[in-house]
Amino acid sequence: MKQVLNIAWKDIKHMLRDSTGLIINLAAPLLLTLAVAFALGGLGSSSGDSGLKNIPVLVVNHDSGQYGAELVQFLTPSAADIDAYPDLQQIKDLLAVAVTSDEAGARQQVDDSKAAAVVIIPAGFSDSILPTGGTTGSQTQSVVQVYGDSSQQLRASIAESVVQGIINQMVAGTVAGQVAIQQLITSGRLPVAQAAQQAPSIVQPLVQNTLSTSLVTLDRQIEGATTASGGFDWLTYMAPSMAVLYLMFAMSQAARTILQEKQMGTLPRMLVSPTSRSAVLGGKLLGAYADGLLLMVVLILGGKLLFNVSYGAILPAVLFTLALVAAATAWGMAEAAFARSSAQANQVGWIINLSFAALAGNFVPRTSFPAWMQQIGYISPNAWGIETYGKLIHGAGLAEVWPAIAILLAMAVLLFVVSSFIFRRRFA
Amino acid sequence: MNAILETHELKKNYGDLQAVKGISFAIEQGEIFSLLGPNGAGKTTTISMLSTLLAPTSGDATIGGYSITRNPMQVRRLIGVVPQEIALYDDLSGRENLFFWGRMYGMNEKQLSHRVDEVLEQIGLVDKSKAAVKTYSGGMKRRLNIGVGLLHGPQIIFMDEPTVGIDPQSRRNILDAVKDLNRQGMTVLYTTHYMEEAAELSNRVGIIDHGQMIACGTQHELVQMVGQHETLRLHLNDETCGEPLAQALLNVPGVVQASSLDHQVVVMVNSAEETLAPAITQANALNIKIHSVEMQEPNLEAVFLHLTGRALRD
Repeated sequence: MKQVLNIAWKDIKHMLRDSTGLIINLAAPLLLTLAVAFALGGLGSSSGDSGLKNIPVLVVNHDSGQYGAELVQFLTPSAADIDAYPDLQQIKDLLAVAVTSDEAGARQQVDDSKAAAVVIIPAGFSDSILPTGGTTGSQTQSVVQVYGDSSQQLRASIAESVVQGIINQMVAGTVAGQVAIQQLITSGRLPVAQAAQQAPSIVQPLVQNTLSTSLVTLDRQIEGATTASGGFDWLTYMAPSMAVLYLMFAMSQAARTILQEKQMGTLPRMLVSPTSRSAVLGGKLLGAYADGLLLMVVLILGGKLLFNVSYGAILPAVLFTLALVAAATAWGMAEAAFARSSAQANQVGWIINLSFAALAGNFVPRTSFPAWMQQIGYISPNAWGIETYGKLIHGAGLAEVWPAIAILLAMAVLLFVVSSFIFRRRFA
Repeated sequence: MNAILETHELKKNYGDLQAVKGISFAIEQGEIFSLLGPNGAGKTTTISMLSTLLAPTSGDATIGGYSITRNPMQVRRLIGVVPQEIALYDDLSGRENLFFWGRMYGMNEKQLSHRVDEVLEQIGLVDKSKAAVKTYSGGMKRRLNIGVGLLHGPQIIFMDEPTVGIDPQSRRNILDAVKDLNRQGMTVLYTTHYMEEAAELSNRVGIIDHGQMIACGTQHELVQMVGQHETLRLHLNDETCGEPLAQALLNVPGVVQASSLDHQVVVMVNSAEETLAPAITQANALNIKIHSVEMQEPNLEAVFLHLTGRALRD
């Protein structure tokens, strides 16, 4: 065991002293996260301090009723509105809304990326919230359209979320109001003839204070974006994705040092010391594994500090990371075991890791891939890493992630056994 | 004297290639034994088997009474290996390298710390011990490479062509270091293709060629195999002229053997002085320019030429 730790510690020291390698393995994934997230959807994160402010949004109101006007008012709150409803300050900070009557012109501005989205309120919107007759029988579904810029998916999704939230409040208030009116009529305190006149004054306060499910739907036209609440957060996706990608490359590199040591003559020198082949291989494995863990700890903490991406509960995140690094190390060892030289292992490593990145969706979510391709992706630790870190980020617990941990550990054991067998034969 | 190392019909095949074809020899405690032979003769393969890095195809060897095939761990504790390449970690300091390799031999920290200081003193690297090895000169790296082999106090040290590719001064230092070690009682197995090194260092020499031990004994015993023949070495301007000149010289009276190698023709003669003039005449007749001439007393080069019909490669 002493020799195993000796070899592992030597490899850790080697990694820490390789300043170029450290920069590549630690800074590059963080920078790439930033660059890809910026390129695909603008910068953003699950927090409010991500630099997302004054998102340019246009509103076209074809509705002549009260609720269309109120929706516009919510989106463009005045100082008095904010005094009355302080929560509206967030919308004012987040969105820079301009009202226009030219729908075609507004769509063109989105197409030209001059605006992130245009919210189109259809004629009859107010009627769908609260029919003029004051009853639910004539209520029809209204379609508010959010037309978004596909190059600004994150921003468009945020605009969509805000509109959705406001509409939900309106609809919920309407439902509550209708129930209240129905009860007043039934109890005889509100004559049926006056119900239509009194309804708005009863419903309006409720509209502004309640939340419920949607009766008014959004017609969402943002290519490639998800429908998850809060929109697609590229930083939240890219931070674990890049960490996993670089882990795979780093583990290929670490495992390759076995072949480099063979070429340098230090591996044969170890093998003529009174140290067993298993201990030498174990030391190299442990060193690579420790390098991988160190890398993931730094990248996870870096993701938290720089992008405010939180990897959820500590225990499942730690257990999953231990399993993920084991699987990544095992893949690296397998690449080195089958290669005849360090240069060949390097080529094999690149091919495997780039293929894994493509299959696992390291750059583009694999949910957009064909089903069969999504299944093939599970051969890679990358797919498990991206998917499971995604779940952890969204609050999953150990119960949801243990199957992934078990599969990665099984993958690691299988590859370790195969690699060890090959190495022992080669160095026998 | 007791033999610390004995080999018995040691063989190593790589597929159809027979790299070592049944070598048997013994090394006595406290002697320097050289394996002399050209590149590809099987020297490194032999040392690799003796150091338990390679398993022999057949045959066996014992070191300190332990079999290299049955007791490799015990054998590894008794031997120190100085490989041909610089097998060190460039980003670690000299001291860190010694600590690393000492731990690989299971030395405890207190014992190791003391021993590292001793070895650094012995190889003259105390002042540079904290500098990264990548900042060392080639000669310093060679010395540290030897130091690693000595660290655990082996009973016999294997040195595989330790002077390949280094400057004359470093080479001199290494040869002196080997002699110093031997004076302190260390048994040395030294491989080389430099006849002069084997001649200077060795108590006994084993001449190896094409995987076979073709002669073994003291330098005096080996030289007697070729009688009183001297060596005449003709250095040519043109490499391609060596073979025709060697063939022509075989017809000159007094020439026993002639062989060409690179820009040289190595000729074994009864008397170098008497053969020089007719040899130059032959060269002139073939319009071959001779750059310089060396005359040597009977030596290991002549032995190799005598036994193989070929010159040792420099």
